Amino acid sequence: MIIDSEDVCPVVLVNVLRAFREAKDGEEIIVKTKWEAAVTELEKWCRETNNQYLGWSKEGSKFVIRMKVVKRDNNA
Amino acid sequence: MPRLTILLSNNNLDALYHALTLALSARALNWEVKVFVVSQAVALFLKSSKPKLDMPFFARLYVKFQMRRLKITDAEKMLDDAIKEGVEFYVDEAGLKVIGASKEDLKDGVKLSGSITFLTQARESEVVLSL
Repeated sequence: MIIDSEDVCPVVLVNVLRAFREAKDGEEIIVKTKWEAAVTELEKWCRETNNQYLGWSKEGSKFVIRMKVVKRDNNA
Repeated sequence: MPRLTILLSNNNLDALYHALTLALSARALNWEVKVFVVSQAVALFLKSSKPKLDMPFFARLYVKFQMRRLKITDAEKMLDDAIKEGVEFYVDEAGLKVIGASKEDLKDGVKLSGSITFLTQARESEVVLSL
């Protein structure tokens, strides 16, 4: 699931939450954003919600952040 | 589930924007979020209201230009998202009456409350903020 967004961080977070609800266990969510703070915010989001943070890279002017959905035993 | 309670009393766009940012981020963490709107901020939650930046004309023009350039989401959309994501908004009835408005004038999904509702919710919340 890819979220390519121009929106600010809280809106990206809501989009991630909506993607998380639809995703199956083990599925990847990839966020592409120009907002650098999203890199650390999503790392913390993964930690808080027991999902797996796979890292980030740069693609042109955008930050590409990869996360793996963990649904087994996860009530987030 | 952790609980966040926000008391919003300031009626400028900055305060509303920060309240919505924190409310949406907290929902993304699956926290329960309640926003209590009191005093002049009540006016921001009327169907007819257009939130305004509290600054001189040219400064406001510049900030609005920058927000458009950076594609910063407007507060109206964030408020819609917040309601859709389960953030609960409560407006102080006294504040509503002071500005001559009624329950029917409130945006959809916004409820009425008083100070007891706020106090009991604040007591049970792990995080309480005043903006």
